[in-house]
Amino acid sequence: MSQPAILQAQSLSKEFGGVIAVNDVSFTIARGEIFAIIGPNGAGKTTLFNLVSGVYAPTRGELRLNGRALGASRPHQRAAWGLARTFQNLQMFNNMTVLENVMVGRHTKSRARLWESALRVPWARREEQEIRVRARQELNAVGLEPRANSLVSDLPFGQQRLVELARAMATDPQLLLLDEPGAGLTRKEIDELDNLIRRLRDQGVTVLLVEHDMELVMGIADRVMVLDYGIKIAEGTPLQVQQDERVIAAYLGVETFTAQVAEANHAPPE
Amino acid sequence: MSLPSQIVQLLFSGITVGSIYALIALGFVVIYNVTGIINFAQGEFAVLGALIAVTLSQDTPIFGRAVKVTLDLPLPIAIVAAVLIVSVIGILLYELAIRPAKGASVVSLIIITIGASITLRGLALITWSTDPFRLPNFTVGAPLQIFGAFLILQNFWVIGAAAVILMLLFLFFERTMTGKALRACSINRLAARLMGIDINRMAMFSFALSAAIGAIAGIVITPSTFMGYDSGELLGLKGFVAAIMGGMDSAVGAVIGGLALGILEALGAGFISSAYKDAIAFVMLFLILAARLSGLLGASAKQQESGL
Amino acid sequence: MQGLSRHGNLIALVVLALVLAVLPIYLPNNYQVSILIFVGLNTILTVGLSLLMGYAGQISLGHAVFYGMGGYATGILAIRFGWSPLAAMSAAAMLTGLIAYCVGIPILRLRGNYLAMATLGLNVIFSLILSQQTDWTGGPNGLGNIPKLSIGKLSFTSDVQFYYLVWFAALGVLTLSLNIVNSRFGRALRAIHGSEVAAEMMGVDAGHYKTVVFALSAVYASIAGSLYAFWISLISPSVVSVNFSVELVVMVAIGGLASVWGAIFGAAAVTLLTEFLRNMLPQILSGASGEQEIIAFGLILMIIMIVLPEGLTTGTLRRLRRWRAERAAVKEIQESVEIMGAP
Repeated sequence: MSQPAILQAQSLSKEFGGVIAVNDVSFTIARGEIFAIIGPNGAGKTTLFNLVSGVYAPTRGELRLNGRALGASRPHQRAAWGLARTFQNLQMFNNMTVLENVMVGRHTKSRARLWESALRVPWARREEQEIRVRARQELNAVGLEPRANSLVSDLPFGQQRLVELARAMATDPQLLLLDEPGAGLTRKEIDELDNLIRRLRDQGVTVLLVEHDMELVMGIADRVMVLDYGIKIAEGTPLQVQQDERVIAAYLGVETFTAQVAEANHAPPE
Repeated sequence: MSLPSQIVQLLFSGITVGSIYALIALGFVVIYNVTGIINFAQGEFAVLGALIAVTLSQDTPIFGRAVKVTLDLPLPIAIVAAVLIVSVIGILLYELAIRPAKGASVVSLIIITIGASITLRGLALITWSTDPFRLPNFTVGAPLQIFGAFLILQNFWVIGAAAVILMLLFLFFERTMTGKALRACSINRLAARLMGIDINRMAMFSFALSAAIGAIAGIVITPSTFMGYDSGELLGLKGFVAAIMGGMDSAVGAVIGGLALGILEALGAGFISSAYKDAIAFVMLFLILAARLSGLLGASAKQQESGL
Repeated sequence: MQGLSRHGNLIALVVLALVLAVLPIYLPNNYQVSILIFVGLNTILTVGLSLLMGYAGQISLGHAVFYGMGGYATGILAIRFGWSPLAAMSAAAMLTGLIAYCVGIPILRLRGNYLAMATLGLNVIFSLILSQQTDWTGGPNGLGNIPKLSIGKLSFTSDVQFYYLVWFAALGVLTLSLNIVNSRFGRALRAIHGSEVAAEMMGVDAGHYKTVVFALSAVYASIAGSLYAFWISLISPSVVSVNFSVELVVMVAIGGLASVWGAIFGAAAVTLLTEFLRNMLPQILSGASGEQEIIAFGLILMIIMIVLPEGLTTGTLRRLRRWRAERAAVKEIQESVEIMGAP
């Protein structure tokens, strides 16, 4: 961890009407790593994600992105500061084409305002062209360029996942949050996703990942944090975490976990 | 009139009008709880109830005075018949307009029920033209005099109707299978369906019930105020405000909201200005929406919690 | 939703402008011209409302308020303060936009049913105020003797002159709106409609965008209101009725909620249908007062929303496209079956 921290969470807590969903969780993500959060259902992973992306403000504790305190800033502000995310259950702009979906991702990186758009001033037209070119590049990167002009709702689920990823990448994120990107994908699609995430990391994007698929997590994560009932119970390399007894105990079906891990370890290397 | 008797007078008329608002608010709440729809045609049920009761019980020219209805049924029979007819209209509204639009967005459903309210208003216009109508008082007798205020007997019918309906609704929801099934729908539609409750029948039933309540509201107030084809718009809006004041999902809340609104209006009209009487409801609406805004956002945050 | 291409929009605009330019020559009398003026005014209103409802997904059942605000502000500034008509109209538009912006900030935080009722409430309150504040607004009788509009040496007095003015404004609004829809701003609006939370995550300040488009549609409505006031030279509370607000929603719904071109179609269809029914119904139904056309609207509104929830134009286009796609798919399957079946 020679790299400087991109995200720091200090004693983060979130309560919903007395129920503590996230309890005093601290962690640090270094620039350029793939950091995964795992835990049984209801462990508070999604809540933690929503805290980082700004859907909720924390009840207590503090988040820093590149040293900047995030406080109660809104998601759209955090997007401008270099944060992007995808959603566990897709959040597509179903009323738009695939290309337009990805073009929205360029929002913070472009600046044409209402009147400049309405009057089509020359620089706004150039900017629009640049947005289009860049969006096509992102689609190309996930292999969906041929479907650019389809309505996004006409695409199969797995491809919509990729559109979401391309859309997030179009924002030029420094930190990319992926909320269960493997959910609902076939084995083959997950393998492709695995490759894709590695490629993003190689481009210099830091990835924060919540995922159920152990094979995916143990294969690509540099470090893993384990949550249970909103509390952090372990953190370390995939190997360290797999051997942690509290982690094994936390997974209700102990056999299930070890079986999953065993399966992950026997998976053919990339 | 002395100030105390003036206040009694205003309170009494406020409670009377408030009972009407309460009944219409109950109609909103019944449908909203079961289906999640706000029925913009709620006020039209009241108008139809009143005008059908009028037509059945007295000589009434209809269709641009081309036809004269001379059924002259006794008032109680006419009232029961009118309530039943309006319930059927409520069922038709559900079967013809709401059910076919299954899965429509909130905006589409709003537009559909607005369309329904316009259609019903138009049908009323064609049938009864623009004439105002009135029913006779249910009981004959001199007004009661209390603290120097004159309390008209018909108003006791209005208040009584609201009280009886609230009580019947309570018994219905607590004691009958259908009532319990309806309540199950309002708590969790999916779970209710898994329990074998026919959601469509429940929704249809909620429209029938709500139409009946609306019709009764229209009928009991028509002896004290003229009813015309377009009276439903304002009645519906006020009923909605009352429903919101009561929290939108509670029958008791709707009644309290209705009474509060009626009393506020009466006091406002009496002590401030009668010109702005109708504005009071909407000022209340904005105050409540503003107060609930944080609560509403809280609710949507909870939805996101489960949705994301 | 993909509309026409940039190229297609341009051609359609030019064709529309040409048709509108020669149309008055073929119209037998002023009555038809005046109906087309109403179509033009309603177009300005519906294009704005379609941006709000169709693109940003926010309902307004009180849009007549801004129409009335524009008309009244213009009249009051021109009559009571002696402002020149053009200055009065511009100031009215700015004032209405500003008021809409300020009202929009809290009100647009509401959703669905609550937003619908709040805008409806605004409408009722506004028309009450108009009838009560007799000193400023002339009360129920309205504000009369609004001067005719003149811009430099051009003065607009006859119906035909007004026809050209209104349609010039309508085409201007249409062009601007088509540009907006196909821009960063329009994309942000549609993104909010598609998924507000995802739009926020892409950096779109949803609250800000909703408020700005609300204000923009109010400015459009204000311009239409000013033009109406100049043309009729009278503005009264009747133009601010809830019924008119609902009629505007009908126009937008018929045109297809998210369709700028559909908005013109909706405005024309409803305006012409109203006139037609107003003339026809009393002949069919004896004693009909000429207001019965509202039944037709109610029925149309319900049927369109049930059968084609995307509106007549968008909905039909979408169905056509789907039908073609299905046919192509069937053909493809048939061909592959033939190939496989071949020995």
